Amino acid sequence: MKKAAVAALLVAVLLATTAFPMLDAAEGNDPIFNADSKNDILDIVTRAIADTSAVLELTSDYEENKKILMEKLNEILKPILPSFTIDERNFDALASLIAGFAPSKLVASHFLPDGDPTFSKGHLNAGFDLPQPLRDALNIEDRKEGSDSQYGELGVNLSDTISVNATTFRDIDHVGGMSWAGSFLNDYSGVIFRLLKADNPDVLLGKDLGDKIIKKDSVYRVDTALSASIYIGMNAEYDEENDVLDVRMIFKGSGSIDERMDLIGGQGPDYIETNTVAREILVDMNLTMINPSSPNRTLYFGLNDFNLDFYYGMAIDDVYESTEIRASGLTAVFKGMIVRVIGDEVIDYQNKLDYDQNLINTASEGRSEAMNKLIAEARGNTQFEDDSDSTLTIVTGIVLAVLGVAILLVPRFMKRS
Amino acid sequence: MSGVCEDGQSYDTKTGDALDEFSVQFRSTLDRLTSLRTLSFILISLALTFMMYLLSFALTDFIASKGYLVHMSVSTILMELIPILITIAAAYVATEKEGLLELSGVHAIAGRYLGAVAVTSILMIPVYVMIIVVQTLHGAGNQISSLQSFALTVVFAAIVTAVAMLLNTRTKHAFLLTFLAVFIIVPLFIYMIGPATDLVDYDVLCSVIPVPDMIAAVNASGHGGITILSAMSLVKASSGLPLDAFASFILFFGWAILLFSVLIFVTERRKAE
Repeated sequence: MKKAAVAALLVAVLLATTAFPMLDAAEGNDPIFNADSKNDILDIVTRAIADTSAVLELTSDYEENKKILMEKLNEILKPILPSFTIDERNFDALASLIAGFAPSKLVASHFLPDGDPTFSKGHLNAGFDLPQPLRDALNIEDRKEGSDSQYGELGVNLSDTISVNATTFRDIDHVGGMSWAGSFLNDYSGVIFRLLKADNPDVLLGKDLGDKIIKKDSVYRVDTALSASIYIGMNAEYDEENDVLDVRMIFKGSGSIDERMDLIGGQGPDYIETNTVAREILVDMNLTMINPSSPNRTLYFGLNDFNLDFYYGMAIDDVYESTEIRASGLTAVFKGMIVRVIGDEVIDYQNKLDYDQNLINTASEGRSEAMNKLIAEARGNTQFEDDSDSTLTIVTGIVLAVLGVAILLVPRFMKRS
Repeated sequence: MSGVCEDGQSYDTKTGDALDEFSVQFRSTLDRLTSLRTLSFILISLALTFMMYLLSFALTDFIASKGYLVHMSVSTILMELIPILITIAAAYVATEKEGLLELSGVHAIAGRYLGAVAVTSILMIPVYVMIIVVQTLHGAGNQISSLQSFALTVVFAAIVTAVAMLLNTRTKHAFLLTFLAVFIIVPLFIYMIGPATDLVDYDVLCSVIPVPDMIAAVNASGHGGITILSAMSLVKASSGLPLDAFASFILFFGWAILLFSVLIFVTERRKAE
């Protein structure tokens, strides 16, 4: 009886396990979690917003604006995605999505940080072509005379939140026009991070840092295997006396990132030198990517200083097209932020690939040539694997197996002979 | 026409005996599936898995309420739980309760070994099901790549089973020692010859030696590379078989073969002595 009961239990369990693939497939029925490239929520949302000529009456109150925007977004999306509601948890990610894809229609008010928007040395030039009411609400000034910025300037203080160490960064020592762009890509095997000059993509930035992080002609994989917090801070200060912009990059990580990059406590040559000419910019922001043991290695991504905090329940897939910082143009452009609002944290990778490709295509518009090249290169490297590690592992496994078989068989052969 | 062995028995007879030995050991090991203790193990492991989920959610909320940017993934805790459960199951099934492993002959050992691996693997199925169920109930969907995870679980069970049986040829405390070896001694040794001495990179070590990655735990979790815990690739939601998972499988398989061979070698050597 006992045996029969246990056997029945096991059979039931085994039968249940055959449902694994079905469960996997069943996910595909959910447009939020597993939509294909045609009906993906991102496409749906962006299309819906792009088709909407919404005029929002925003106030100077951040929370109030947030509510207004959420309400409007829900109104737009309800007929299309009845099961999806924008709330506190997914608002920020979605808002940044909107900012990236439909800048002229709706922009989240959360680009205005909390607190007193005082700004002493310069301005962050936010690359959003905002409607005038929103610009007013966000305290965005018109482009200043003499500025190279093609956008309005967001007069907010962004300098208070940098907390990562910048002590190992070298000051700028010469002047010259330069642009740089960062791209953050990840797939299930990790994150790819590269920096290169936007105006000369063949030149990778930072000699010492480059040796560590950026390998020429290759895409460096930062293995975020299961847990990693990468802090990438970009710190730029305008030297009024010399009319020079001091741009500093800060990399700080934890977990496996630390081990790989030797970035703990300033170990290693974790500085990057760059230079540019600037007159009125102070970009001081902390860009945080977190991969909190996400099963699908989706990165959680936040721009603290912009109140883009969507660590929770939000994810950005694969391509981070969000950070194109053109220092030489005196613009800090955050555009094309590719965000996939996925509820909690589930992504089906196969769909993700199609989806990403679609996003890349979509996001290509308006992206700099350098960035396009970067993305194309990265995508061309389909696996993003650290092949050397895997090869070592496979070879080791085979050698061990052969050794094992030898231990088993050789004595017998010797005995017979 | 049947040949004749050195001891005068026909090859047919000898092959038949060997198969009998294999069959007897295999079946007797499988019988452990139906023991009350095994049933208890299943229930406890299911309860533990469920509790781990609750715990991870609670911790996530707690951490978030403190304002830290740490997300305690459910899988993080499971990654620690699953290998422990596998080790418990393998060490229990493969070893003698109170005594040394006194099997003789390749076939008998193989029967016990394969039986133990099979039982251990089967015992993990309910846990996987529970994980999927809880995830589904929680609305997170299925985050695990089931077949891949299970394949890696089997090869990991194969390693642990071999270790347990190997230890059981020498000591009665194989159950405990297996735990120590898998979770403390080997990782510590690896750490000592690697990062602590700054000789070899931990990731490189983990690429060739499956080590539970507890040392590298930072923040909510830590994972230095391909370790035993990547066997619990539970944590990978991918539809294909990614290279690192494939590599893990090959590595674990290699280790399992080697350890099994050493087990045979040691047993026969002991018998000869």
